[in-house]
Amino acid sequence: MLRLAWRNLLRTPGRSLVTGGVVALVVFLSLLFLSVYAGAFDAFYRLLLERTGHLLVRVEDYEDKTDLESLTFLPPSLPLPPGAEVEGVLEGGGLAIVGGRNRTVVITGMEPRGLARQQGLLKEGGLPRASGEALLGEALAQALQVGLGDEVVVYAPGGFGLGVYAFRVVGLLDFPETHLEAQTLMVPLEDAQALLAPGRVSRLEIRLPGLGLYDLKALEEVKTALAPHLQGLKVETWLEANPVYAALLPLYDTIMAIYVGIFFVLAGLILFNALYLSLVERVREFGLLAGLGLSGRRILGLVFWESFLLVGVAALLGMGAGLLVHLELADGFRLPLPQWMLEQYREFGLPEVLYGRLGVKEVLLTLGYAVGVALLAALWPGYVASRLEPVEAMRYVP
Amino acid sequence: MSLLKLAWRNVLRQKRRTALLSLVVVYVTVAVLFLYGLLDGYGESLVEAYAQYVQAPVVVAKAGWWQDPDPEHGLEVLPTLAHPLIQAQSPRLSLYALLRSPYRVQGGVVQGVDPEGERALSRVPFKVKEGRWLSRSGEVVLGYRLAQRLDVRLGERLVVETGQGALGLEVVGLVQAGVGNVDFAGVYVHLEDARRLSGRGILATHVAVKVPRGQEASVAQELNQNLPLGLRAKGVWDLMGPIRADYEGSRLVYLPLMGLFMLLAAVAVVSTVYVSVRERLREFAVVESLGFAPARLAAQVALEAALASGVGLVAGLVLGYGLLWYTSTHDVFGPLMRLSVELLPEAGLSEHLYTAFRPVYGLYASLVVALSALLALLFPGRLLLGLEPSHYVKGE
Amino acid sequence: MKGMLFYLPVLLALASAQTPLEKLRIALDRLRGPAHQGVYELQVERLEFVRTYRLRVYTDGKRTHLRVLEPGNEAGQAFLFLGEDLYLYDPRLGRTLRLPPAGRGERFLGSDLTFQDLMGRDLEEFFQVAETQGILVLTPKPAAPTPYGKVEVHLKEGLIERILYYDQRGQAVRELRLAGYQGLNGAYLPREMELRDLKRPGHRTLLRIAEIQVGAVPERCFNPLYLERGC
Repeated sequence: MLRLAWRNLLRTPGRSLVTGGVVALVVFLSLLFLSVYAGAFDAFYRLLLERTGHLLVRVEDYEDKTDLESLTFLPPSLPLPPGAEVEGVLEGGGLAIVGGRNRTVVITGMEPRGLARQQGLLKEGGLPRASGEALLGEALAQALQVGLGDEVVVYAPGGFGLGVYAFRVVGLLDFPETHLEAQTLMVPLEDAQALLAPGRVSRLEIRLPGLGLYDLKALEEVKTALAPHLQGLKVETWLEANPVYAALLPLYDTIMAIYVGIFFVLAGLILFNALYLSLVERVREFGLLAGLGLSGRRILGLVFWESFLLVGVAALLGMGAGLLVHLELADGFRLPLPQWMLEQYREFGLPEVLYGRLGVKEVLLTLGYAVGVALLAALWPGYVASRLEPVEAMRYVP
Repeated sequence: MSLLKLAWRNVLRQKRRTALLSLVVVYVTVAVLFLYGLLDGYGESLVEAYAQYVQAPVVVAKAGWWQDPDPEHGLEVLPTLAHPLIQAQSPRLSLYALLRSPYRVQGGVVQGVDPEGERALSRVPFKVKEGRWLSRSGEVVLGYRLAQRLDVRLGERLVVETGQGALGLEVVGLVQAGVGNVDFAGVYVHLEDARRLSGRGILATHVAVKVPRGQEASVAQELNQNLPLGLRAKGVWDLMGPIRADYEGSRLVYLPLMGLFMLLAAVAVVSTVYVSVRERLREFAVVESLGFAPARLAAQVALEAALASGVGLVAGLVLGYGLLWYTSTHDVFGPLMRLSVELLPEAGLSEHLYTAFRPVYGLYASLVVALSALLALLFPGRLLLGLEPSHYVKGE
Repeated sequence: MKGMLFYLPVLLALASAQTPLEKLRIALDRLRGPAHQGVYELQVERLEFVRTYRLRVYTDGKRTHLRVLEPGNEAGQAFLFLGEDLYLYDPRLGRTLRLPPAGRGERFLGSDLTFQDLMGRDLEEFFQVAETQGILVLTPKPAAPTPYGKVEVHLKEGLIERILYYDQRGQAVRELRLAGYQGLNGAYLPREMELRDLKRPGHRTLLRIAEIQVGAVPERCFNPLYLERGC
């Protein structure tokens, strides 16, 4: 039966090639699309994870609190798994003053590791190496009309700290998001503490090396282990700390399935068409086969085999090509869009260089669609072929 | 019998086959219509959000203000803007300020407006969900989400402070425009109050201008030719933030994809026509031996392809426009857009997205017919051009 | 004592003839005392800790120069309040800074007191005054930059005893109590100020006068140029 199906496909090489080509193209495009989309999605979330760490410790009910006093705490020692890194961050509002100009800013005090993480955003200058040095968002520097080496006075009363501090601008940061850039002032943690709240932090960022982006189960375990050690504090996973992003995650699979589905419906319709044409061309032949005693079920089987063979070979080819391109994408790629557009996309947290990702789930989704399409497209032509009356079919004139 | 009639009869001869290939064309037509409608609807929602709510159709300001939107670069004298297409114009003064409620303090951009002038220009005054729009100085209207965040209610006082001054303003209205920037960050005060807060003796930072939809860029361009030195007008597309890139990026990705879809549909049509031609080679040979030119036969095949895909096109247009009508009158994408607004509150996204409904989409979708005919000429048509009538007429 | 008893009805009669605004004005005049210099103790209480500052103060009743003496790590910080203008000197900063108007409403040295509580006359400037049952009830003037909905000033013999700040929803949010008024050269000065944040139990600030010398204060003390080196 398999050989017969194969031979039939080879009898109309042109059509088989076109139909198979369409299926292969769809499989290829689907994989390409999934790889790029997952890469973009990951990049979006990775940026968030890099900014917040895997776990965040903050005061309970921080959402309802507004003043620095109730939002900050003395960092407790935490029982963390080996290799875990904890960084204290102190964040508070203030007024940056330069001459007659002033702007409200978010002062972020970070440990050296946290500051080093900003290296990629440095547009000009270097990282703070000593007390009194600061990184400024480029837009903020523009608004205050300061450059490298200039002084910015930060006035932040209301805390327990000095309430005022002078910083020398040592680096300018080019944030993807202009609204962040216009209010960001990053300084060494000790300086922020001296200014706002000595010894205190507003959050602890816990990073767990080796933990993937979506290893949420492992995160939950660490979180559960930490909970009893946090008096008046609350630990959250990076997704819990960003509820809107968390709400987006479950939509991912559905959106992917719809997008890929749109391609496959087209492929399925074309395949359906091709199988039906192939049936029409061979009505007399099917009639002969039926006359020779081939049962309706076996004729149905023949049509299904043809469909599966065609789709199978095409899907393998498409998948091979897709995986090859994916391997290339996994090493990093830029979306083929004009530079100004890529820069604008950065405003939404999408880096210029993305890394393709293709998981088993994505490959299975594509294969599932291919098999489904092969099955559905063959259903009706197969049924028609199996119900042919031998005598009528042999007399059939198109 | 005319070529068209003949082709039509041939198409109808194989009703089932025609119906099947029509399915492909229907699908592609619906996809093309819907995607165009969606893309244009998205673009229109952005233009509407920026022209009617966030900014204005055209904005005129000093060149320095476009670089650094600080009242330092404000207008000491209001320019006289004359253009036949200008429907309304009103000065605005935007400045950075600290908003202080009894419970929270937050920075934001305050928009000083002339309450009446704004009514003629923007839709914000008509989107007050609680209270009323500004009527005199001493009042402030807030985006309802911002009011929630500041924990300030109608009738309460909000302190607005700048480096130059401070005012306690009564919250008289809360706006729910369904546009992220307005709902999450909108602060509207009387122009007089904004002038006082700026402390610079300027009258405005920019002038908002209303012009008919679609004329924004050309009016801005024409205004630029006559504006006093140092002033510059920008149309709504130039006023949009980074979200414009998302719209244009989507077009760049989806339009070639639609092209591919149409090509594949045409290939499906041509496959069917190819089979049909092969089945009728003898028939064609007889007709050719009767004196019909092979080119005419090829043209007939092309016509058949066009007709077959035309059937799908018509059905697709009916279905596609039906879908577009539904999605252009029902807020199907509302939940998704609301999530996007939460995610990117300052991108200028609207909470509602209605697809566009334009006749021209039908023309785009009909390319599949032209493409089918062209491919039919190239492939099954070529089969006829190389036909040897004697071979078939003999019955071999 | 006998003399006081003699004057009291006269004083009361005078007081009853005053408008509520005049009463407030006089009470505020009596709040800052005569020109003097001294040492104030500022105690900031929180649930988890108590922090104490010692401040050197120079004032002529309208303008005030304040220098932090203790704790050591903040010693040298100085503030100058000249009505509308507020200047600040920090030794680490090494220079004097004029703060924007927003700074006036900010809390002072992490306490519950604002610069306004210490030296300002916002109650007079921003509010219109009425009197109900012997209590001055202040409501904001149109466009006054205050977040409060109402302020009650409780007077005792023309001196402010208690100021209660309400939010705009009728809930009392801050309470300032003044006690230990001392008559100095015909003027008055409360020796103790206590401020409670009524929204947050356990948040309290106490200001006590530890030392005081009544007498004219050199004019240079009110010059921003002298914030750095002292006067």
